[in-house]
Amino acid sequence: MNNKKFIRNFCIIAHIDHGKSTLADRILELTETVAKRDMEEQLLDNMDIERERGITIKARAVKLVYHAKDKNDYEFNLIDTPGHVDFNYEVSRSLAACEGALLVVDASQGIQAQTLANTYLAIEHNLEIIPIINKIDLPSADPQRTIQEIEDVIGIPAQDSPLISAKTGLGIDDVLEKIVSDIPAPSGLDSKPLQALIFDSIYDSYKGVIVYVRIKQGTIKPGDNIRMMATGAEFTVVSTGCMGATELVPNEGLFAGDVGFVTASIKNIGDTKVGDTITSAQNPAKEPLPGYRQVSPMVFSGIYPTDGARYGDLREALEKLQLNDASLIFEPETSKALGFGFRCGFLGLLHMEIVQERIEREYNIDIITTAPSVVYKITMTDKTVRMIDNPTNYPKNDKILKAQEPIVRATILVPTEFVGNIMELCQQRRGIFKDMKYIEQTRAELSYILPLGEIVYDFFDVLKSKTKGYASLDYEMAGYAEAKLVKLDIMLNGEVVDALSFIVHADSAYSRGRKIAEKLKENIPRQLFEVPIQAAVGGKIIARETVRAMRKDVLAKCYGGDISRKKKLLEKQKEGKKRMRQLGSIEVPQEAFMAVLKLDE
Amino acid sequence: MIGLYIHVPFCIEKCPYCNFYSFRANKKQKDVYFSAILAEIRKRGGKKRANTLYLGGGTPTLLESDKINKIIKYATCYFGLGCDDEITIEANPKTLSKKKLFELKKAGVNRLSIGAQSGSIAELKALGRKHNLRDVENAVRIAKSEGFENISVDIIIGAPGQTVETMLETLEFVEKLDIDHCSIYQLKIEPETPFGQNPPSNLASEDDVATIYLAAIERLKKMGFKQYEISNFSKKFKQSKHNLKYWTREEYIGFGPGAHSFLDGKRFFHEPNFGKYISDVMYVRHEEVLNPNFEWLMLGLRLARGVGLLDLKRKGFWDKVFEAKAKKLQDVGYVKLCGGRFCLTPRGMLVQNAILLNLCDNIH
Repeated sequence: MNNKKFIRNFCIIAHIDHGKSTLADRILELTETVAKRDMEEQLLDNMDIERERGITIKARAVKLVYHAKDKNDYEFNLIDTPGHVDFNYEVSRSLAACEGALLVVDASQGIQAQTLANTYLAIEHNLEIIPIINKIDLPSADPQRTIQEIEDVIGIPAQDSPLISAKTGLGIDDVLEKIVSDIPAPSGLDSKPLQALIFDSIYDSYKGVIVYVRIKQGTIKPGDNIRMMATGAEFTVVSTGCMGATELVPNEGLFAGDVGFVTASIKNIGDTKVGDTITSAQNPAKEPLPGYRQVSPMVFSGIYPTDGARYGDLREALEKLQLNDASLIFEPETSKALGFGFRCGFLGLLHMEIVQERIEREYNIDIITTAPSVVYKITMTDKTVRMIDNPTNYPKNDKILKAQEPIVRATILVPTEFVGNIMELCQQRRGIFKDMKYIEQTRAELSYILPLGEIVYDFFDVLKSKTKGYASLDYEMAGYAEAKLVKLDIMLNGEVVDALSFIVHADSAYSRGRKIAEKLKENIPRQLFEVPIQAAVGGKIIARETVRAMRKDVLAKCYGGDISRKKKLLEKQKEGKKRMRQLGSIEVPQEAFMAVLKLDE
Repeated sequence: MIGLYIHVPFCIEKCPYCNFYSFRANKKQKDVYFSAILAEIRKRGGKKRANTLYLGGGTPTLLESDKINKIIKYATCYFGLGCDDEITIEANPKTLSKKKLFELKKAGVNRLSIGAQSGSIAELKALGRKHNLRDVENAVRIAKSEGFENISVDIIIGAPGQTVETMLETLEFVEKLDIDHCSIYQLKIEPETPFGQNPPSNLASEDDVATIYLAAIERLKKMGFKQYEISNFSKKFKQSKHNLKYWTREEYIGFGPGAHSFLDGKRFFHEPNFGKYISDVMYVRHEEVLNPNFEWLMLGLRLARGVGLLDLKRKGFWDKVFEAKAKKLQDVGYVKLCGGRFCLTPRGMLVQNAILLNLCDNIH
């Protein structure tokens, strides 16, 4: 039995860099959950990439005990949430596991798009929201203005928000007391049939999948037979427990209101989908908890080892990453240009970058990736509908009755001086203007409907550069819309390079094709024969560049019979050739494939 | 018959583009060097006959004439070098006085390779050369009067500020010298030289060098020179017999620090280190030998006459793939296939490395 009166389940929501992880660290410290000496900066962000980028990729949870001013010991379950739009669904499931949320706002920067999105999400889940004004030690901090902004924009009272500095530890006591006084204790009866919400899971090579759950009602104990309501998979519980700061602590069972973990010799992380409900196999709940959905990848890209011999290693790396990341999908694909590799699906661009980075860093495999693609919905002339996530499989235009692309509802918060730039950018990217609100005198909130395909292509970088880094973006999927789409092919020496094809709106095909041709020209070294570079749509050439043949590549003199000099030079050149991709008689450096992914505006 | 190469690593002053092994030597060093060379000739001699001797450097004409005389005598003694065989010395125009030329001729030298470098005063200056055009003219004139009939000049292509026009000026200058051999060497910027550290701003681009090279070939042809190798041109069949050995894989022995040898199927060299050389003249380092067939192709394609198709077949190069590649190279004008021979055109010579790598996957 637990004493629900003394349990507080909450999460922290914040924009990137507003101090979420630092605050979590301070709370851990002050509740003495972690001895100071074990304290590593930003304990909850386990991965190197998370610490470096200052983002949280995976939700984490930790149990801590707070001795409050009312002399009672409270059990706090702090659930850290991913802080990026790619992981919106995961965020919503983490929120669903809580009764309250700490809303951290940077006193110098105010509310950002991400803050808004996540706060609305928390409000939807009926969470008690405690605004916290952070970084008040910064010279540029303006707490009063930030409080006003929270009241005006979000519409929640914020006058008595704790003013803190997570960095220095100032005001953290207030935060802890607020958690006790403002966040409701969990409700739910132990006697009802089990409903446990899965909000995360990780793979452990000894225990199998460790499932992070919030018990909404009922109880779960080792030996119980459980069923995953969405997948139908059944298991016998091996252990349950709570999350200590540095290790899992087993217990005799979890009760309604508890946050903890369950292991049940689960081999496949796909069986424990985030958002699914665990119930008892003998005495199942009538209904699962609301809100579960199957997450499907939004962005696809080919990943190839630069060294073809490492294909097997790449597969292993992807398999290992997938153990902990059920949203990553992949299947083998072959490219004429790049050889054997994998078509991978991601939740979004950041998710894609993170996976790529982890492959390179944690598994030490150099990879080439192809341009990210979204999933197009193509109605064929024979009325069948095909979902296309790979430009190579895009049907010929005369076979297409209707082409649709995924669109998103985008919210951009930006200082008013940059509104013009943003409008221009969104227009270029085929955005449909929906609304503009001034959230305070100097900042506006713009709403646009934008094709996802335009966002995955360089949008963030341009957005940042056009607003000196001040704009923030959030988006959610908004279905499909018909569009004039074409497949743009790149040809080298008259041969289509499959890895460089992509789908683009007919109106931007010409400029995009020209830019890619120029970029390739810069990146393909001159060789023995001239290399024509062409961009083509449906067989029609729309741009052309030529890498002229090299004029000089010879050793002037075999001086005094020094043949080895020439040999060494040739060997060096031969080595250089090896690092290139051989396409017919053309050598294309790996960088050329990457260069076309980032085209300057 | 083998070739003998003597490396004389002495210079009055190092040119800013040069990375050959040389230094300014005193009398003592020259004496020590001289004894060491003689010792090496003695030790390596008595086994094979030589028919060419080449004194290169450095500036071999800095060596006293009696020493040069003695070296040639040794070569005659230990390698059966005959008086009609080709005996070349490289010379800085400033070192060729009437007296010196007389002594060289008397010692048996019958071929001069003069480092003229350019017929443009501005280019000579940019190259850091101390001689002027008059020095070259005088040296050639006196050499002829002393009976030298085989005279060559070295010309640099790609000198700072060089254009097609200045190259044509230079060749006009060469024409007036009325000699039968000319070598055109591309200036290569070596990292460890002053030019490498601080490259002149007006260096010709690779494309410009290619254009200048083709223009030079054109002009030399009109002047009656026949190209016989990527960098070498001659009249009246006065090709350098010694240098030809390098390209036809004949044997040669290099004496002196930094000199390379090819003997009994092995390639080896003396380290470019004076102290090491004089302490053990027989100490050499061996190099990994290339696939002999590839080496043959690599060197043979430097020659204007190229390689024979029958040899290509016999050495296992010629198959369907090779033929298709050769055809393609011919289509774009890099190679010629005629008279049972396979050779590079001037344009092909400019990209010889790329052609070799295109034709051959295995260079070992």
